[in-house]
Amino acid sequence: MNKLTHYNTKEIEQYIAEELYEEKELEIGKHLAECKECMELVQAQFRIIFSLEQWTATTHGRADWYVRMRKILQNALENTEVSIQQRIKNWMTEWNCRVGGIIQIIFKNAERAAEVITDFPDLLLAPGASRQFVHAIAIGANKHQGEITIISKDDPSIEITIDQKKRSAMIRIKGPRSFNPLLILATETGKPIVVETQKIEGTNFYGAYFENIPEGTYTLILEPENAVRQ
Amino acid sequence: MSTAKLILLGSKKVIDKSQVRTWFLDENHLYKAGRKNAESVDIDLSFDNAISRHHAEIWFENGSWLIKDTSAFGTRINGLEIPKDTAYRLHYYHALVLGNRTTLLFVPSDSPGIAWNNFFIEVTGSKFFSYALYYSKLPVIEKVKIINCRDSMSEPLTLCLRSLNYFRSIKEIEALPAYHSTEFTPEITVNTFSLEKQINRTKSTLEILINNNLIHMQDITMLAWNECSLVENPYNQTALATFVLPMHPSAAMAVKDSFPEKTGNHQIANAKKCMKELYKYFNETWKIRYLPPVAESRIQTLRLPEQVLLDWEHKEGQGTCLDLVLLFAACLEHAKFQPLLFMVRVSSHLYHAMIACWKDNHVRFKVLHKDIEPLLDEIIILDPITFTQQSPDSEKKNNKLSFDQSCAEAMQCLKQGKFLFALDIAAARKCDIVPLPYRGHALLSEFIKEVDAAAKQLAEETGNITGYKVYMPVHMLLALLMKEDGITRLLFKESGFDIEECISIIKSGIETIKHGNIVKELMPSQHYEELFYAALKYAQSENSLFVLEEHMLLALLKCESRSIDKVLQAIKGKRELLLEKLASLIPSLALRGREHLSTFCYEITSGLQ
Repeated sequence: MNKLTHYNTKEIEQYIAEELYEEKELEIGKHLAECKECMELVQAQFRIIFSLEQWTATTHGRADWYVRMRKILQNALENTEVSIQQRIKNWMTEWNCRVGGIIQIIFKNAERAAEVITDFPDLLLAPGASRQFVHAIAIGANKHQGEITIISKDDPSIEITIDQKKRSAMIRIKGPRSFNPLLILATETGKPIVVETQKIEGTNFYGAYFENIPEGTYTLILEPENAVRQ
Repeated sequence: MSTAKLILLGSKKVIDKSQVRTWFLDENHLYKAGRKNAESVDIDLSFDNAISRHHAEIWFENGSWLIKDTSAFGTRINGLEIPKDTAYRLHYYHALVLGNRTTLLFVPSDSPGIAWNNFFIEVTGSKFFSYALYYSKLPVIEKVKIINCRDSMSEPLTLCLRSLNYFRSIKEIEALPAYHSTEFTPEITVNTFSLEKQINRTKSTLEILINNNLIHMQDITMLAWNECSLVENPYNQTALATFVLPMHPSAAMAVKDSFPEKTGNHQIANAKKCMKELYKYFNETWKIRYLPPVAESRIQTLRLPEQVLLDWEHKEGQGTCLDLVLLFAACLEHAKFQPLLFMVRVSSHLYHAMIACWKDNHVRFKVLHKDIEPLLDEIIILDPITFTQQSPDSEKKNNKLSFDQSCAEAMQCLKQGKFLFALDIAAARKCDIVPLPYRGHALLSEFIKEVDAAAKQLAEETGNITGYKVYMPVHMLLALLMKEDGITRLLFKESGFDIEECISIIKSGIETIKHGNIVKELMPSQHYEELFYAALKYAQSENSLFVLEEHMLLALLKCESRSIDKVLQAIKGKRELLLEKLASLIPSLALRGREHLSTFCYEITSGLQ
């Protein structure tokens, strides 16, 4: 569907109620990112259904996330070294910008605890490598003030620890894997940080550690497992 | 010092097997490759007359290895002809074709790789395999690299890596384009039964087979379950964390006794206070004898907490520095602190272990620390031998120092010795290096679990006919006899019995047991329960982490069960003869008096001195 062909109310209702097939949902999502008219219709419908004051695709749109992922990856591609670029290109083409895992971290000022958002649409996750996250039950060393640990749901092979005091994010990914997975820490505006995780010596795990992260909202995404490399 | 080597991969010319096939390259030397003539060559390739007398030069300059072709026949690197008389940078794993017949591979000098039919196969991993490594799912073979050094597509291969009785891995390798390589971590299938039986250290071999042809063998040592290798590779080092047992009753009891005022889940105020109180407890309440490590201390036999804190009544114990460190670490972890295990080399063959603790609890990233400087301000460290007594024959009777003196001693030791690594136990736990499932008594091996389940199944089946569902030692004996590849079958076979006939006699015997009495619920007889208790005792006296088949068999042949008597009568077998045969089959079992574990430990330690 091109820009000029708009969606009807029924389709928009189905889109909001998440009743559409994945392909159709993506198609509408892409259209919404470009079509102001349809977006207004979505916002109006959303207000009717959920009685919210305001709705934007940025906060609620599933398909809008697809556009955002593409933007993050494109941005990462432009701001990384040549050896990594091919991998990001493959990520974009082979996996259609889907990710192996995603969380959002909001670092506020020093007095306020960091927030972690773990609930994202399944649509964003690469099939076979999809990883949703949940907050880990605070046990042992995790229960210390200022530290939040989240783990990958179902298969606890990825663990992320956020430390508000140190403004750090520590990521551990269980191996063995055929390659060290890439991680991208993207801000809303600035350049994303792209890192290739390193093997944690003496273990089967891969990891990355970000320190002194400034205040702001960050999206942390993980390269899908078994992404094709050339 | 040699940092690189050249390996002769293949030559279309048949060469003498005694011909040098590997040349180690020193950074301070210029190497000339060619055919022997008046002028000496370092890399003698005289077997190939398509090579110039002075074919190429290889040397090290400004951090790089370089090659220069000086021949009439040319030199190719990974298939590309290099310009004559021009220095060209060499990278590891470059394949050099000199002339058009001889292929050499340029690799790091410590590469364990081997050449086979124009392939280069490099298998890297640990020289030691142990239950701890297996339990932590750490790789015994870390990486396999295969390079096709031919100028054409390779055939697909089947690679098999195996160590007989212990593990095996089979991988289908797809065809590789010319000069391409593949790298992977092989999936290993481990024979748990064999590893559980590993009471003593044994030498084995890692066999590399391609398309079912054995192409290479390399040594691998199977450590006993309670042994560790300290310096061999990072995986063995992190596997040490499996021997820190925070839930062990002796560690838990030591923490409880150190902090009598604390009950339940009250957290002890801080790490320093915890270390100080524990230190005071071991220093003042216990008489712990320091045992110096044995000569070859890079592999150590470890004592678990109950083997260190031997006598709770008289508060007497013993251990090497590493045993004490593992105990102290277990206590700290039990008290919810984050211990670190320090390893220092004090002389060429001697290592010293010390215990430290992070001042603050945090989730940390690194498991192995190789740089000491960033740690020093964040930890409290002490030397555990400063709360011990020397052995009676030592001139110095007492090592005992105060807590502060012990910390100072540890810092002194760090300055004098060579710091090897610090192992962060809490970080290791985050990477799945969990404590061994040992709680002061042996565990049922997988084999015994299977046999136990089979015995119950037999009781269930016969119970459905007879109405009597009690499982007894005789069910266990039957299950053992029915288990393929077991020692029981071997024992009966070696003793002249027909196994199938024995099984048939026992089966029909079981069907007549207690006929008429109704017990509908599946339950064990008293003797059956005693059997496990006895087997457990035998396992412990053998210093085995697991109750193995031989322990169960010994318990069966020694138990006072009438059903076993009847069975032996029916098959015309005698306990004494079977016990004798068992002793000959398993010399380590030796059927000697079964001492209490602590006595046994004392014997071991006496033997070490």
